[in-house]
Amino acid sequence: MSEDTEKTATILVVDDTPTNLDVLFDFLNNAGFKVLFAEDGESALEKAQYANPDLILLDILMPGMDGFETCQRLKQQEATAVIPVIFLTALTETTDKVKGLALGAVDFITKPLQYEEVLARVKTHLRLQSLTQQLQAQNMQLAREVQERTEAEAALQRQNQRSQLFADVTLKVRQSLQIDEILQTAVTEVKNILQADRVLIYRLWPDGTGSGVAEAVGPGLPQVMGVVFPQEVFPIASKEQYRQGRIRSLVDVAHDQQVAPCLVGFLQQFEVQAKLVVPILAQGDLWGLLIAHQCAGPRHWTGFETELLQQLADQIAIALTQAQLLEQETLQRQELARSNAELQQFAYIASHDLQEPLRMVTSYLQLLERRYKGQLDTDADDFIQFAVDGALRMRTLINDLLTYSRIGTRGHAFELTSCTAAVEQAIANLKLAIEESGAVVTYSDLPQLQADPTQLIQLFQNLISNAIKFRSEAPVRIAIAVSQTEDAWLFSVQDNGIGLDPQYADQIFVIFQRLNNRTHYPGTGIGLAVCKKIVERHGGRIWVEADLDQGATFYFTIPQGGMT
Amino acid sequence: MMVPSRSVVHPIEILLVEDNPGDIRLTQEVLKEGSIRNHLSVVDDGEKAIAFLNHMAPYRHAPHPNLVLLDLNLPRRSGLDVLRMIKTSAVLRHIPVIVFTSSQAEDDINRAYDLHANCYITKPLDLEQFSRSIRSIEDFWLSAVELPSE
Repeated sequence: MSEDTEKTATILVVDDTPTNLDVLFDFLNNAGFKVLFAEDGESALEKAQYANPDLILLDILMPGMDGFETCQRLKQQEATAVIPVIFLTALTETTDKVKGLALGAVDFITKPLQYEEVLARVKTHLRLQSLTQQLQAQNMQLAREVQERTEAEAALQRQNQRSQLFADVTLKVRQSLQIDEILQTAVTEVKNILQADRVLIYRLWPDGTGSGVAEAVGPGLPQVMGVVFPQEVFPIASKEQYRQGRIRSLVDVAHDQQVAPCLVGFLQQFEVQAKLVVPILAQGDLWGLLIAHQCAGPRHWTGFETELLQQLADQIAIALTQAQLLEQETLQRQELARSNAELQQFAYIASHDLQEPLRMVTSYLQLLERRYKGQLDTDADDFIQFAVDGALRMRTLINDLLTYSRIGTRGHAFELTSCTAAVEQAIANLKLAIEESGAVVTYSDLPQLQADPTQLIQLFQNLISNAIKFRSEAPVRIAIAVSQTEDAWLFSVQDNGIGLDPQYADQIFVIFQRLNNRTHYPGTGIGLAVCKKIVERHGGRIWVEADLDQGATFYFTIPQGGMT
Repeated sequence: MMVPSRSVVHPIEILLVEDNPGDIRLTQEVLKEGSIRNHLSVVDDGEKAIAFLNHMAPYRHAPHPNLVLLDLNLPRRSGLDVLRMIKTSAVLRHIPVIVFTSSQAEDDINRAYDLHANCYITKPLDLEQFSRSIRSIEDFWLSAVELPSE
């Protein structure tokens, strides 16, 4: 306690003999205290009330209310109870002292007063009082802090618990991509967490009706699932409110003024006494509602429960959106695969069946040519020639188309295939073209990999024959090499031919696309399309890097360990 | 000592089982261009082929073929049925059967050989090749090979 506080302290002196007091007043005043006087018990109580002194010097022997009674009453008043009281008395009996102390006094000063003693005792008790108050303040502060901490811990624990629950349910809900499974998991989990009697996911259908699509319900309670609710159950206004995110919490359905009577009847049908409803909003639309029912009795839904339900509804919405996207994508993929397969089948059948009549046309034209060439006029010979050429070209086209469509429809299973053997076989198949062109094909250290052997041969054969076909004046050099990337084999087939304009680098892999004229470079433009299809069937990619007159390098990848 | 080929004495009897008139005529024309004397009988479905080979009405007086050219895709009874019948018959199974078809399906090829087809030839799309195929049939089956006597 500082000196300052001591000096500004207020002391109430209660004594019925004013003569005694003048000296005491001066003395205390000089010591720096503010001094108040009261001449009897009544006024002492009054002054103590409004002045709230820091200490009271109280005479015992007073007319009317004596010091003991005054002390007792001071101690009974909350505002004055803590003020230390020192009795001033001529009495020296121990019993009096004991009685005074029992009444809450802190000390006695015996009359006649020794002023030094008075000052010392007053100072001591003021200090004691101040320390006590400080201690109390500290205690209170401590208690407050302890409570705050306890509350924070409880809040944290609640938060943790909620996060855990939420994470658990979210995980379970989101683990599935099947809509039905998501919904069923959600209702089961929510019912467990909320300890509700029924949890229902109510789907709003585009025609305004609605029905339960997933339900977890306690034993013995009626099921809502399977009941289709008419449009009236859900007025448009109510729908709009849910669409904007309204949460509906009903504590006691039967006694709630807000609940329309028809709804009460409807809810009673399912024994609902309290309910909590949150909207499931998927992509901004009201997809449906997540509803918790209490059937055993009314229930006050806590903020935690409401919030949890809302958050779960949001998670369900996300899961639903994902599942819907996946479902859409799966359907599209299936549709695409189906239409691809159909197209391949169509191409196969069409080209196969086209061959028969074409064979007739070609064969008989050729027979005509063979038997009657030179016997008709030159026009007739020309006409026959054109017809034969056209028919032969069509035959090649159909043949190529058949080859192309067979990659998808008539492929063999993948097996461990030696690329060296495949390249050697391709070279053997191209023996004539290689000899005629004087091409030199080099290759080394080619791996074994999972592939369709026939198609792998075809792939190398098409790339080599392509390189020979588009050769330049220079002696043909074709180099086949391979390197390993992170997860695939990267093959390259490099030539020193005429190359191509890089802007056509993608076009050349499109079926029936040709860059060069037919007279110099015969062909249907299917060879590279076949290559692309083969590589893609093996899970890889094919591309070309080339420039005009700079040769071309074809690259393709095959995943290591075959297709996954 | 050289044994004169039978074709010098008798023309070779060939049965063509084929329903496409274009192919029938083409085969006739190409055989006509060849050097081997032959007599070609034609039936255009599998049932007639079976009747012909078994000398059933109306083929009671049909010749006994030295060689059968058999298409697979036939009305009523398939070429494979005809093949099975021939190759399970004690009196017919020695007749060489050449499956001559437009089908390149592996299934067809395997099944034909399973049923003991003597060879399987895909009808070439080109007349030259068609001629060559018929020529090689002639050269091999009708000239190089000694067939069992009737």
